[in-house]
Amino acid sequence: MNCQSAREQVTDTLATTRAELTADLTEHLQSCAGCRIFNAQQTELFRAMDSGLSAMANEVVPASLLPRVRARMEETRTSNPWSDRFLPAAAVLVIACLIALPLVRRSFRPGGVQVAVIPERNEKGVEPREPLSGQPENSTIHPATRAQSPHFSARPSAAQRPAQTAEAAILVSSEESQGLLQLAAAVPRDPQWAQAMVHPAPPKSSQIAPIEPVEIANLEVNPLSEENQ
Amino acid sequence: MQELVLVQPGQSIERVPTGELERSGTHAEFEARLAECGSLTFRIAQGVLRNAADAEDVAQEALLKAFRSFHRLRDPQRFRAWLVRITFRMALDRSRSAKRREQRETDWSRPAYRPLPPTAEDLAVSCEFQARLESAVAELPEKLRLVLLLSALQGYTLEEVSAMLAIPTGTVKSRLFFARKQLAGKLR
Repeated sequence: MNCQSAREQVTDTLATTRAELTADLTEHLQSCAGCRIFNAQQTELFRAMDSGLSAMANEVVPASLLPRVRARMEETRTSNPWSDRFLPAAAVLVIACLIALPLVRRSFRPGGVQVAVIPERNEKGVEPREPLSGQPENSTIHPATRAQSPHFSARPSAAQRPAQTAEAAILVSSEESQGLLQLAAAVPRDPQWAQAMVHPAPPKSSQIAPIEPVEIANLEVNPLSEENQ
Repeated sequence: MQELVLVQPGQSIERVPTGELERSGTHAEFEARLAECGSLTFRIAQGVLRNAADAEDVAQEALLKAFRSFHRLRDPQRFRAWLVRITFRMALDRSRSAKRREQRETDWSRPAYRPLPPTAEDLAVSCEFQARLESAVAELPEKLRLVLLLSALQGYTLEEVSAMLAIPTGTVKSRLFFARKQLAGKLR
């Protein structure tokens, strides 16, 4: 046995807390003074280490520990567990609402008409409106006008949009709704009205007036309520 | 729906909600374990943190955490192993955050820079050795460190440590061997 392996064996023996040295190692230690000194040093080192570890691990437990824990346990028992139970569910609900809110708002936004105006009371009442017949400020902007305007050119037309969003886009007042109902009742009696609406006469070029894009500040767009449908 | 209650003669009907009964039973069971494991919890935290106040805080938090989750524990036999792990993990977290805090603070607050008592030379040497030992233990891998600390606890055999950690005794022995060997190498 050489000195290096003997010293490794000494360290391993002490590390395994096994006090007995093997016969080979004992014989080597008797014959080698250097290894004997190493063994003594290592034995002292491990003894000090064990002593230090024991001191580290077995410190006196403060007397206040258990009473404090019991007091806090009692606080936990008496406190209202409602928040503990429902707080995670409430948090999930809030997050779900935050995610769903933009989607709901998007679904209620008018699809076919970007800007809708409730028309004022008109003396003509129920006449079907031509998009280029003037009075653009009192009427709902026609999709054809929007297509011509550069302000709306980037957006798809009403025909390209899904039907479900186009329904929500129509915004009329109650008077106009009644007028439309009267018109619908009159069309079967006078079919030429329907023809005129489907194939309107081409307007004269002199009557065409340039229509400026309508800019309305603080416009509130609301979905059509059930009574107005 | 009506509830059938068996009433013993001479005993009044006392309606206690089932949840309350379970809760009080759990509380009594935990209370019994608290007396047994309170000191263990503190000593594990103290072995990691080397600061009695911090160790007490961590022990309190660990015991409360265990109390709150005690009713969910499927196997009560493994309570001690569970608590040991909770405590060790929380103490490590506290130790790491304390180290980060120390780096931001001035040097005088570090324990290593505390002035040693000007007494005998032996005391100074032993204090120095203890400080070196503590820092060497802190550098050990977590698994080895936990086994080393638990093995150094008075009154616990290696078999009890293995039961505490829910690992085989052979694993405890091998971890202890490597821990001691690495520690001696650092202190040499």
